[in-house]
Amino acid sequence: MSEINLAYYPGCTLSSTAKEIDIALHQVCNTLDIRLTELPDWNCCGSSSIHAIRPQLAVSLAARNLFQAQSLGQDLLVMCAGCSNRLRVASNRLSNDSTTRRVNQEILNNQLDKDLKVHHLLDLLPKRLNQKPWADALEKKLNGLSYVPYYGCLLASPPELNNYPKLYGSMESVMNRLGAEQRAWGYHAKCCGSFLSIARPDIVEPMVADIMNNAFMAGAECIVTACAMCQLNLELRSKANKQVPIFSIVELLAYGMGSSDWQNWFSKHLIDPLPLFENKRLN
Amino acid sequence: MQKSDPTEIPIRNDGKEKQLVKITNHLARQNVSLCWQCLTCSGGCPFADHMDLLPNQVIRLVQLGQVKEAIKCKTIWICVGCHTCSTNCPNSIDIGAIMDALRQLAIRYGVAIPEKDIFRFHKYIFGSIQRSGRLNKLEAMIQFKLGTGRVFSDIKSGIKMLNRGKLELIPQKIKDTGELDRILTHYDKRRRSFKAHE
Repeated sequence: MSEINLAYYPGCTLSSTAKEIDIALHQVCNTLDIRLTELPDWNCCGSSSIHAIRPQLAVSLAARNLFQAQSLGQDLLVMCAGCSNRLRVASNRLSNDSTTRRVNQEILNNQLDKDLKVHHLLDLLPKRLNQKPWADALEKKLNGLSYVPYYGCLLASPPELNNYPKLYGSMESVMNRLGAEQRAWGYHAKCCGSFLSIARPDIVEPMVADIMNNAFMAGAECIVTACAMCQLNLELRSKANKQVPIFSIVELLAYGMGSSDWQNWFSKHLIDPLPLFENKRLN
Repeated sequence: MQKSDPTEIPIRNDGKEKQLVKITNHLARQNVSLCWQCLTCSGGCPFADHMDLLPNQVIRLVQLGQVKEAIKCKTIWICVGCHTCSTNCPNSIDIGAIMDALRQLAIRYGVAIPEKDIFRFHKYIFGSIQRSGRLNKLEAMIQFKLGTGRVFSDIKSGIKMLNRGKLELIPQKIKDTGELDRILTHYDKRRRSFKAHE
């Protein structure tokens, strides 16, 4: 199997609040022979706020990034759940809606090629990990670690993105390879509260408590997520007496692939996962 | 929380109802008349407790042409677009998209926004992106805290995040700001009453 070349859009979160995910992602892609070229001058995708108050503007902000990927001649890889949603919505509208296409042609002097694909890492992972030689890339296991997978609402994706594959099962398949034990729960796609975590924490706290509670009841020792915002909200808004560590799927995968940086990443978490790792004799 | 009773909202007709329903449908790329008021959306909404009108009631107001009433509610601002309702709707109506459309209309018609803090939050995020093309969370958060007077809430976790290098002190800036300006001016020309809220 050959290597894959992709343009890479980090987004504001992975270049600041969740820097560790960005580093882990690069290590994982390197091991899997996915070569990433960062977009030369990417801008914010618009995030939930611009989408909430100025949706057409949000599409243009996202379009600027898509055009950069297009001029690199590569499909785009996005890890952030929010960014991948915004970029995919923009790509759909630029391909299917003549008004959006005309307006953005006017502003940015460019048109989107229908073939440009916006990948989320989870689209690629399970398949890649099942193929040789990458199937043997896992050196370390997470034996005995019980977890619940948490996709959050953004990766469940709005109906407008039904042309993209659903990601359910992809994190489980990776975790299964790592030897972790999945616990059953019904909160895979439950919303974490999104931006209301800052604007209305009074609403988000009970929602996060509910998610944490259910992780406890399911018997999970940690929650594994692919969304940096979910991770931050769960860490920030949960009560200290009832919380489990939250991991990003790429951090754990990079750990499994033998990365030596994992302690640095884990020490950045607001809920310290190191005691759990020590407890499980994982190192 | 006590819900307001939409049956108490007086139905007002000024001849523009059909037009407004059309505009809402167009902006949302949906057809509200498909809704049969089964309440699935409201039953599954994780935010329903904090809304003044339930999602299905908002849709009902639009169906009845009462868009001008629908855009006054808190619900459209509380909705974060998690699309739980849209995924569950038996008629495949993207209710989240209708909330987006109503929010746009609320801004366009300059109605009073009942969720001031949420609107402020969006505004500060927008400001940060407007200035540098990328979002600086620290900058937006400080503005939000000062703007709402809730300076001391979250200060502990804020310091924790700073210590862990999760908040950037120096904002990143994109190189081609000319292109960003072109995007921003294009939409500035088109907006009317957005300024009224600033």
